[in-house]
Amino acid sequence: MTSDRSTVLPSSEPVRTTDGGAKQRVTPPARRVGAGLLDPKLLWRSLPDALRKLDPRTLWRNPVMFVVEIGSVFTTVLAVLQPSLFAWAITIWLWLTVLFANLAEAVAEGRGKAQAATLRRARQETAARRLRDWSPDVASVEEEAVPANALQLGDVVVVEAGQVIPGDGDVVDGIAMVDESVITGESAPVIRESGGDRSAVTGGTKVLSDRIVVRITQQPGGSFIDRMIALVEGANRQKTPNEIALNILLAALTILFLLAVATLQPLAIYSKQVQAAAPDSTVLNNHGVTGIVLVSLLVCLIPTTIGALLSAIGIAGMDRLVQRNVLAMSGRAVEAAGDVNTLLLDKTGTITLGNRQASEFIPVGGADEVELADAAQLSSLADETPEGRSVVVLAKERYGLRARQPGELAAATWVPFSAQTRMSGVDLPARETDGAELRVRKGAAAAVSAWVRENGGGSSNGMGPIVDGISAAGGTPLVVAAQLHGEPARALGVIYLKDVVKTGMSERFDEMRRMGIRTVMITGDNPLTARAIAAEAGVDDFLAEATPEDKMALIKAEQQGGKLVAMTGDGTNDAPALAQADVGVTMNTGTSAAKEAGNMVDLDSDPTKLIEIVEIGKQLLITRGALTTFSIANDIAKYFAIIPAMFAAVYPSLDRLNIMQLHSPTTAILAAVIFNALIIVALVPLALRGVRYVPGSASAMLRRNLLIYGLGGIVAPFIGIKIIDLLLSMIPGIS
Amino acid sequence: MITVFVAGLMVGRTPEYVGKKIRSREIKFASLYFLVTPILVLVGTAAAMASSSARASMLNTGPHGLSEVLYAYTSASNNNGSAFAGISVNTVWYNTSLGLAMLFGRFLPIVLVLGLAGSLGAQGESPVTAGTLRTHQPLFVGMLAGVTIILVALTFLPALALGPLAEGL
Repeated sequence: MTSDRSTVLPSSEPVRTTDGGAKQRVTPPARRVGAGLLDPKLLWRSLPDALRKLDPRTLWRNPVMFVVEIGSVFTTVLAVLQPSLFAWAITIWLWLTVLFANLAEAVAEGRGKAQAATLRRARQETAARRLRDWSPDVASVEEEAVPANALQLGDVVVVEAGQVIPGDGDVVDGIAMVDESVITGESAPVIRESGGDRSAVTGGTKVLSDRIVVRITQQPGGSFIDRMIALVEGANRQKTPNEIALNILLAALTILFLLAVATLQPLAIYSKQVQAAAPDSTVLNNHGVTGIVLVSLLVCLIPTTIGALLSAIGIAGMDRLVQRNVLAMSGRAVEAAGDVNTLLLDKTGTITLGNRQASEFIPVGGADEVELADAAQLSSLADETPEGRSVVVLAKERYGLRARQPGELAAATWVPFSAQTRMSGVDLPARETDGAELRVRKGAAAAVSAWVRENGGGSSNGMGPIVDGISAAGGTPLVVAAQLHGEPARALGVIYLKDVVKTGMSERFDEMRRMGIRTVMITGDNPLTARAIAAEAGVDDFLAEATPEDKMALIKAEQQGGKLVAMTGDGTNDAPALAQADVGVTMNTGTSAAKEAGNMVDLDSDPTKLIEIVEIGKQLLITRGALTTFSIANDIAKYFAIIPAMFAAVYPSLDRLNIMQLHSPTTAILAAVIFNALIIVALVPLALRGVRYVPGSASAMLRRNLLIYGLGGIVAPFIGIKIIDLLLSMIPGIS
Repeated sequence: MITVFVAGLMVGRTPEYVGKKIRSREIKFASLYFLVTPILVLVGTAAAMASSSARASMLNTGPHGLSEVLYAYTSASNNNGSAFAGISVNTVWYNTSLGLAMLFGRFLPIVLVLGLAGSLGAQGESPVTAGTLRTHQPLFVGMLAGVTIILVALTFLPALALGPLAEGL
């Protein structure tokens, strides 16, 4: 397991924003899967695209809207043959319905296109400096200039400061700072070096310092940026399983309503003949219901709302991931994320801050805290590890001990940490004031105790239980001992190094539990430490001393029970597990092998994001379900508008169904059609942004969404149609 | 089944029922199933109204006559094949068409439900977690009833409006 994430160097520049929207840093308190902005200008720009999508060959893939288009063509013909204001009004609004649906899709795609354009600028033609017959041992090799797109898999190129990396690859020699802002939007450069898990570089990114040798790992035209462009443009978007199922359902509903409307005609003719006294109208005559009205009825009944917005919802879902700097290689993975039952989370970086930090000084054997803090600080001054620095910080914060003056310790002999001695420290020469020579040691309990005994000291009281207590609590104890010249060495106390759990994690895991997701912490720590941290963070389970094989076995065991598993990883040794998991999120800092194996890449390399990905996946499904419910619920009001309008002339008693008291049959039908078209536009922002998602149990969520989209879907059209009818009744010539 | 699908989507999971996932295959069977009865009833009624010989055997005119024809087909497709006394059904047209409606109305749904069962049975079971939608609580039952009523009402309302509704109101 890898513990060290790519170091992000501090940068004075403000964080750059990507075109797709303001870049959002991950903040655990942000409860809401965020909103995407709808730019009115984008609507206008998408109009040509929307018109292009009127082509029946494209529209064919969306059966609901295809039926509407056929209906529109039919009414157009009728309106030309028998022109009337009513006929043309219906015709125009039917065409608008189709257009609005296309517009929704075009807008969703448009946002991706804007992003793709930025990326494409990054993929400018670069010249590569290919090295012939490169091998690590040969000092100088022949160099040749080739265009970047001519690079083959396995070629080796050299890139120096200021140059653009010509293609995806692994660093095989050297170390460099790389500006990856074109793909991540993060202006702070990252370090890439040969070997290890930070070796992958992406074509199009820029080397800022030093020189690296890169082995190309992509086929020509198959670079990461190429794939990204294709993904955000939605060019090769495949429908997800749930989307296909929903499409079948919508097609079936369309057939059902087609049938209901088609079979109505003979019934209407019969009724009209029976009630021959009833006057002919624009709506109904001796040949039955007029074509225009029949088409209107059909269009109002079939689930146009969801049919129009379905693909926009899907595209917008992918887009929301891209805005969070996550690239999903397939829509299927996004949907699977919503279904995940088990989350495997790396301890380091995801659950804990990543580095152990000194949190307490516990003196033993009569030493006082300040004396201990002083010794601890002395021994850590030369220790550049995060743990060492945290000791100095704690000594300063809690005891006001400042780092020594530079000259003061010039003669000190630093004793570096080694795996053999398992301790580090400092030997100070005789001080001028009292001539005392001081030796301080800091390290593992056993090692320091042995050092104390060697130097004439005894074991100090109470140290054993403290050390054991810290270990049991998941911390790491470091013992500090000192020896003044001529005196026996003595242990001063213990530094409590703690693995600090990120704030807000346990609330997040609680939420996960309520959503029915089990969290498993993966760590290389021993079971004792792992248990303590797992308890503090509130995860459901942990896997200690995990090897890649263990992870694999855990994933398979979970999947055996029919569960879907998501995990994050970055190292090459994670690749098999990433491939096995249903949702495998790879860190952008990870190796090429890991990126190939996973089905999503997180450009920010933030392992916490897995939780957000799950939320987006769920939100995608919920949005579809809510709009389907809304769409079907809408039909009730439309019936109450259209049926009385059609037949009240024949059977005046049916006017009692006209509970909205609509002005006239023609305004009623037109109002229903207009409402039907406008509701699509009204719901575009919702489709793009996604339904608000509040983590909670399934029942609570269903109740909430049923109330809003079910009940709302029944009530809203009654109000909407009535208002439109009122407005229409003011226009002369319609009724 | 359709309700489970829509409800499942609303809580943000691939819909499942008693531990079985509902995928496009299951939706296909379920959709065909709910299409059978309306097709038989509505097409039957419409054909009867369009054919003059069938209309000749209607003794009652007006909305009541239409209700009788509608009832005959609904009844034939769904259960016992009875008809009101108001139409003389013992004609070639009604005997044949009602007979066919009975045949298809009975066996097609059986075939489709068996297909659905087979498809569900072939799946492994998914475990029940807190995120799984419980399908045996009042809320879900209410939604089931709601979806059923709305779907059926939407299908038959136009035809009903001209028959029983016109009669009754």
